[in-house]
Amino acid sequence: MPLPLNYTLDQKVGEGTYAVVYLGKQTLTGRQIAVKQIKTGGFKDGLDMSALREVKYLQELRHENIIELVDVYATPENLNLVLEFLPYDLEMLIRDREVIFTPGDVKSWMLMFLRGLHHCHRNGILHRDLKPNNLLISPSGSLKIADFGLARSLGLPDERLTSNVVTRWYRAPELLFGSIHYTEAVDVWAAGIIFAELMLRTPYLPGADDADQLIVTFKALGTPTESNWPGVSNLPLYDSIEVFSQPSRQELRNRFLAATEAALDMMSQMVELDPSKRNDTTGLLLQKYFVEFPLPTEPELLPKRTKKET
Amino acid sequence: MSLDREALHHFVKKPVSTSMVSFLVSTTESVISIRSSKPYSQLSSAYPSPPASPVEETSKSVSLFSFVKGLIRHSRVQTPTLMASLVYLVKLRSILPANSHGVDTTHHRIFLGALILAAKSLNDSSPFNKCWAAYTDGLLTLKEVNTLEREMIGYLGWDLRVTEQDIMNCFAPFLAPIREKIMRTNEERLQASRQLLLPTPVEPLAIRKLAQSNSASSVPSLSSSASTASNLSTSSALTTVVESDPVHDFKPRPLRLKSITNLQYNQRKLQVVNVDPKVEEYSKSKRQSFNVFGNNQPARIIVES
Repeated sequence: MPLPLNYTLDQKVGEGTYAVVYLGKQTLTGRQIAVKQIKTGGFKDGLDMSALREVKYLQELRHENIIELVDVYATPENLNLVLEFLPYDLEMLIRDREVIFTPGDVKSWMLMFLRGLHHCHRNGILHRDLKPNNLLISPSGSLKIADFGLARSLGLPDERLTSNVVTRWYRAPELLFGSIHYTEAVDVWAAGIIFAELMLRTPYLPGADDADQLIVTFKALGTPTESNWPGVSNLPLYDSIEVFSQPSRQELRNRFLAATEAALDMMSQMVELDPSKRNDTTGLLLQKYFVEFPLPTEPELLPKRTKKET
Repeated sequence: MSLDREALHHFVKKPVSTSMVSFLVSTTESVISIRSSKPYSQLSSAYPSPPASPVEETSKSVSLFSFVKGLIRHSRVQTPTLMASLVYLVKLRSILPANSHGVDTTHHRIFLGALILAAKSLNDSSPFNKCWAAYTDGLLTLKEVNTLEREMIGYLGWDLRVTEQDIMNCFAPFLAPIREKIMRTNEERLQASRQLLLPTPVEPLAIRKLAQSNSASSVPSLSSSASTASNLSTSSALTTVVESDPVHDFKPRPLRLKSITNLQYNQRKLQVVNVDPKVEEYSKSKRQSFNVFGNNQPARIIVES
């Protein structure tokens, strides 16, 4: 078991209800690392479940587009995940008004994102909390999926899953309706909403609360009905909601002015209301969008953050 | 899908049987030997252990079998979670020094430790440690449960991965009879279809496989308590096997009718049917190498242009 002495914690960079993040170095190599120190309250009730999951899934998933877990160690008060150092996230970039995104930049991020996600899914692991905030950017420009605290592996098809997952704005319609038998498609939906956000430079479906999320989502993408999604009315929280029609192609073009037809094709396949019609990561990676011009920007050439700490 | 995998798919859906509990108990017992006189702290010098818990003279010693059964009943964990626990126990067996010894409740503790880690890492909701402590019927306190959990994960080097190969190795005795039943049913279906379509030539591969299976039927079966062995004798009974569920029998369960023809459990497989075969093959091979080595290299589905 590694001693805490193997790492120095130099600077506190973030604090949440669940963890504190420090920047530090690996003493032996001088490599920059981030340490996610999980508050355990002296382990009064044992090891934290989401910490255990994060450890397990990061150990299982090694991929250049997934954050690397360098080490884990426990002290009597804390559980520490030693992670690769990733200076900023996609949300910071989206909000940074001084940064200009080209279509090639968006394509490059989506390509790296979907590769990482494909790696999770082909290993039977759902992320369940995809949002720009959890997509981190390395100093060399690579995008890496992080925060596996809500992840789980997909077991038997009849297993009950909790529908209380994914940050509200990125929650798929089956989750909004309280489905307990969902699939990788919930991650694909979130990825589609992130894709839209990258093109719009503003959150695509910002619901104010859970009820508003339904309205915002269906206003933009149409209300699920038995005709476009057979079986939807059996979902636990399905209710007769105001029926908005699905957007026409022209309406989508007007909303996403800079998007090519192939980009709109891909997005539409990611935000299909019916999860069984939504494309999977394999299908998405083979989209025309990724091979048509403009080609994805090389990661090293992607826009960097201009502002320092806010 | 390989026969092993198909057998595994059947196995994970089975309710927890008495033979499963016995198997868990015997595996737990094989992890470490018990020497009552030695204090618990001599288990290993590498990791600090708590002092031996005070044993009352009245001795609350519970047999490991009823302890395990009680935990499963209270926590309502299902077969997959127990499978992961068993993998952790087998790993622990190879990690602990050969000359280590435990005290009276060591077996109970290591089983509980493995079960908690499996439940927390696999399921969306898992009992809190105070509940686990309550499930031990007074054998262990919350503090002891917290300690044993951390000790267990420490022994495992924080490595909670479970690969398909781990499962195959650990559950060979359970999978062998299921595999055999599948082969028998396949053969029967082949016979039936042969009768329907008379001119169809015999499938040589299936025959060869069957022959192999017959010669390999001496796969170690579980000790006397294995109810799976009795299923074997009822040849094609797979389509109608209803296994009793002695552990969970406090609540009525629907009959589980197993049908080979119903391959719906493999939904994910069905979904990828229309995927480019090359991609599919590639991801399969990646997945296999992942399962064997655990740390596969970054994959690229799209060749960079």
